[in-house]
Amino acid sequence: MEEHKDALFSFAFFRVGSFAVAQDMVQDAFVQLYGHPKFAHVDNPKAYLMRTLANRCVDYLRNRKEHLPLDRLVETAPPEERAYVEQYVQIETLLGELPPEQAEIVRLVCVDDLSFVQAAELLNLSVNTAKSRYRYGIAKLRQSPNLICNES
Amino acid sequence: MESLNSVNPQILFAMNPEQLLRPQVRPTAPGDMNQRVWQQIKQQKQMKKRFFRRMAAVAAVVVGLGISLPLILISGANAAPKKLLAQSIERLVEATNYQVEFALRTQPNENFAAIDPAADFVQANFVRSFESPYRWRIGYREGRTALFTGDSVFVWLNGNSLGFCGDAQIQEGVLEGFSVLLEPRKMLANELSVLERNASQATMSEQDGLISLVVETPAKGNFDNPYMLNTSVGESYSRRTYLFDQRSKLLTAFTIEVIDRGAWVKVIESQKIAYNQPLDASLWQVPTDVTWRDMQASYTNNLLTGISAQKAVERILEALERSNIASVKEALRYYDQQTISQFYGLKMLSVGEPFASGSYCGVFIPCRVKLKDGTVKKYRLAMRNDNENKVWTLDGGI
Repeated sequence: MEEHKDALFSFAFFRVGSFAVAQDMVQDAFVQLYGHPKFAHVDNPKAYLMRTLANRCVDYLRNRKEHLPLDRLVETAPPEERAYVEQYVQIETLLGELPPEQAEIVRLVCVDDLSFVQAAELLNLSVNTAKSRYRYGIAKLRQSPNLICNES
Repeated sequence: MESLNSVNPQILFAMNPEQLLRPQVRPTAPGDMNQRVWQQIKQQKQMKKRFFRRMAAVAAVVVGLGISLPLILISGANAAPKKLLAQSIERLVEATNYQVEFALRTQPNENFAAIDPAADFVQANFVRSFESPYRWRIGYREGRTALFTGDSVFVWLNGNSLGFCGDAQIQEGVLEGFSVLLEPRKMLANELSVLERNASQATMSEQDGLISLVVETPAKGNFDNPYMLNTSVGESYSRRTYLFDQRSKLLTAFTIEVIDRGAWVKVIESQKIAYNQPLDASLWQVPTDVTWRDMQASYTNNLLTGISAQKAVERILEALERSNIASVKEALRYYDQQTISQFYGLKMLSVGEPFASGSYCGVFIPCRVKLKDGTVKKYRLAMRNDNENKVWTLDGGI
């Protein structure tokens, strides 16, 4: 647990944008791993946990009852989280411009700092497909009005 | 930390998207996360309790026993164990009563037959009279007790003034797996039945005037989601060891182990088994300081029928938010007012997708709520609607 918890916490935070929720998600994922019937045989616990976390975050975002717009998240965040939430908002704003399949691979590589091999394995894709989706995603972001409008 | 919004726009433009997407500083997990995870595992085990589960399949095996015994074919695989079980059942027909003192890993107020391989042992006893009126009583030390008086069942918890009652039909539901595990005739008949279906592997050995029979069975139920794994003997990969007296063929001891995280853990162990003992009349007395609630009253709430379990949870939580449960009171039948009022004024944060696990007849709904004191809690609410009018009820999880 010690080895992976920070990476997993960051992984969850940059998906849900809240320390409390990210903490819940990571705890739940560890609890699920330890309760897994074949716990002793899980080959790659970190990959298992990331897959579990990604699913839980999707469920959370779909089922949450409070839905604040991104631009209000920073002002409502606790002071100690604010700087991180600003990063989260920045990332979400950029990734929001991409189709989900491109956003996910870009997120895994850039935000979560995974290699293409790790990201492709997590998404059950070939490495080549992962790389091409990534390339298209980044190319699209280079044209982002969010970046260009900051020029003026 | 310098935020991205405060970066000079010219610099921002110069950055490529990959740079912008790489967090400058990553948050780290709270220092007490390990402790919280273990605490959560412990709490989750406690929250898994459901009040009563129906064990129709088990009941059917037992009801059919009187007719089917002479027809049991003692041949094929496991022939010797089957013969021993049949002989022992035959001998038990002569018994007038049966008592077993045993220990099991659980919480004292848990529902019967629920196990927790990580918990300490709780002392328990079970008494069964085979003479008319057919009565039984089971009690956990300083915990849950149930009594069948011959026509009514009563269940109460230590230190709780609310109890539950019903007629003879709910015996199996109250005892759950114990309706089989604690009555030697049913227990042995059940083993015989699974051996007949070749659903178990049995080994037998003899030593010092005792015959030992060991039966292993995989966990029963759907464990795509392992939430309910190892919460009862049936929902565990289990190994049951029975000792029989070689001469009388009567059961003298039993042990049940389950595989938990790759190792065998003993979860139930008989300490003393006795037959045909004088029984004290006080065993069958119903407590007078308990208010009894009828477990069999019909469910008629239109608000909680014809909707999804998820929607039903939302309606229950909304009622708790308003601190007025009048519209959903029926669904909270198994909770006393004190427990319910702890949730008054909560704020519903999320209600997740339902999932099934093990052999539970309902579904579990994950949800997050903020309690009145500001603490955020997660629950997996056990919801079932297997009643006449398909009304959703909260069966456990808080």
